[in-house]
Amino acid sequence: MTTVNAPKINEYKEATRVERVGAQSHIRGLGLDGDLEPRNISQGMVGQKKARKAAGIILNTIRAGKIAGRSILIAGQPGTGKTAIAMGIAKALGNDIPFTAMAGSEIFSLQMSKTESLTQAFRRSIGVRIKEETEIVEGEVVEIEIDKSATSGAKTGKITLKTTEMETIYDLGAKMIESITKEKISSGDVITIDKVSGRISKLGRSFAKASEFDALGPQTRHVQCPEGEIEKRKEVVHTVTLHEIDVINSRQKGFLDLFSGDTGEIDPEIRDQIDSKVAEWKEEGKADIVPGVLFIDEVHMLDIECFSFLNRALESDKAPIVILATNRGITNIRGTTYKGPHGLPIDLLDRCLIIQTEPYNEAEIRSILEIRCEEEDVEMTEEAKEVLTKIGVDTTLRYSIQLITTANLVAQKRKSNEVDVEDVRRVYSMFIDHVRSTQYLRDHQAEYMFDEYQKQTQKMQVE
Amino acid sequence: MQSQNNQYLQFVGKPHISAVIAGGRRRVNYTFEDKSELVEEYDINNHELISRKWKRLSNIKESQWIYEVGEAPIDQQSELKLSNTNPIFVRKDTPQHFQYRVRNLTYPEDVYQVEIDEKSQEIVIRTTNKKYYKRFAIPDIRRANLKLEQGKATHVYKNNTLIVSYPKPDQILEREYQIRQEFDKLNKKKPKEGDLECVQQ
Repeated sequence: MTTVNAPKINEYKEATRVERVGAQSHIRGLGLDGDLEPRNISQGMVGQKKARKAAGIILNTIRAGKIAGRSILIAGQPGTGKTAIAMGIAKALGNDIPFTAMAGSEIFSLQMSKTESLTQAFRRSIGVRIKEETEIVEGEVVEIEIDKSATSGAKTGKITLKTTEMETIYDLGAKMIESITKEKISSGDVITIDKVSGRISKLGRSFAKASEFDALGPQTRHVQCPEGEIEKRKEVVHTVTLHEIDVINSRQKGFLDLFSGDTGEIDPEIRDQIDSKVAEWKEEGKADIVPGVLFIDEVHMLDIECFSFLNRALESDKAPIVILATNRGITNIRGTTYKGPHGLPIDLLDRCLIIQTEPYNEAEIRSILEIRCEEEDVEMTEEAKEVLTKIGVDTTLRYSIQLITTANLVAQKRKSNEVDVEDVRRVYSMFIDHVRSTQYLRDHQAEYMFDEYQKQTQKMQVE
Repeated sequence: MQSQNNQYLQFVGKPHISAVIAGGRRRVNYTFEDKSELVEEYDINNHELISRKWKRLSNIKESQWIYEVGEAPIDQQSELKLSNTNPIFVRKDTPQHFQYRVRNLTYPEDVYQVEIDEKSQEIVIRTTNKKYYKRFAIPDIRRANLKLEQGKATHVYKNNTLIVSYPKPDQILEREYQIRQEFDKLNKKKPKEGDLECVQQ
């Protein structure tokens, strides 16, 4: 019986994938200069100087790594840059220091108890820097071949790597193909692949291929073609978090759970063992403990049990720096009948340094809108920017940011590359902000379902 | 970057040794104080070393077997695996020589160069057409604290395979003789599949 081979379609390398842009994706750092003075507009941050300066001081405390268990509360009205500052700190710290961001309500999960969620979050923010020998594959890419089978849609591929002395061909699995496409690896790049973790790093472009293109990206480095063998053992410095070590040790095939995300409760005994093991390594000089940052947004969603837990956890010498953020004023503390500033009990507030953020002024709103326009790839006329700024001042900053891309779509419909005042006006009338919405409701209450006002009039009629 | 394969392949302290007959071979298990393991498999009749593998435990990741002699089973699921068109490097000793074979080499005979790098104590296989390159040490010689001597490595090319040989020093030949004696004694008891034996070393 002859086997029928499915016809293979050669896939040319995909054109640049469009990345989705997030609300704070324009933040690259805190925008401070050498003396920790915030520049007015820098690294995506605008204004809010006092808060940024305070954040800069915290940043240095974190970097020094000597002081554990500090907590900071960033409080301010909605749309004043609280999450942006936390993002700025995260980006400024870089990849070495673990930064875990979470929202207060994520604690409440059916799979885990609140204290377990919090403990895991804490342990995700403490890193252990270990020197390890891993097997790596390093070489200059000669050729990449990716085929897609017409029937099953599965991709298969081969990559040919070379050094000054030899060449080797590797078969690629699906995940590797994805990484290679994502990192836009092409012939002439010098890459390193960690055989165990599957991580690919681009070291640069080979000098030999430097003359191929006239224009290259700003980040391009040129490196020598690697020498010697393609497969090597290299000493690599890894930063793993305590949580990852917990998971790997808590069950047989533990390391797979890291990827599936479902970790469940972890035995406190295991945690104790790991703590003593890590302390041992530290003594032997094999590893370093790197306390990172845990950012809890919407912290007013936590309840009194969580707050008590936090109080205690912050006192441990292995605690990370905890940054809390909230936009509530004097509200109910969840789990009690008491009210507290920002919805937090006073004993927790006492342990925090509080940074306040203030609403932006018109010039700052204008700058932020310009930065967002660039980030979202939208061209806008000066008049349109004026109108949008005014909208931002009258309503809220977020509303005007959201109008940017929508106005762009409207402008494209009338075949124009630039957003003009009429586009902004159209989206302003199509999408209502919350102030107008509230006003509208007040006027037309009776027409909505389950309206309280209606019920009251009915009640009065019955009586 | 030097290949640092050798760091793993050392005896650490006094091992606990046990042997079992499995799959028609004598398998000797060494367990060391730091929980790392060594497994050797010998042919039951002529006591030829078929495979030798080491395992070092790591708290961070899964431990893997490192093969010093013999071939590791290929992980079919692996995301990155050597294509089967590549040359395959395997060690398989003869009674008098350490022997390394590189299969699947299709280049002409005069392309291959074999030398000893005395500084790093490694044997180096080069090709003049820059297609294959391999550096490796002989762990047995390292463990016996001996040195690789220039000019003693020889190579032969036939059937698309390059065979590199290095003669075993007397010290090692003697030790292997002792091991064979020990196994002969055990064989006299006519062991069957699944038997556990106690081994003196």
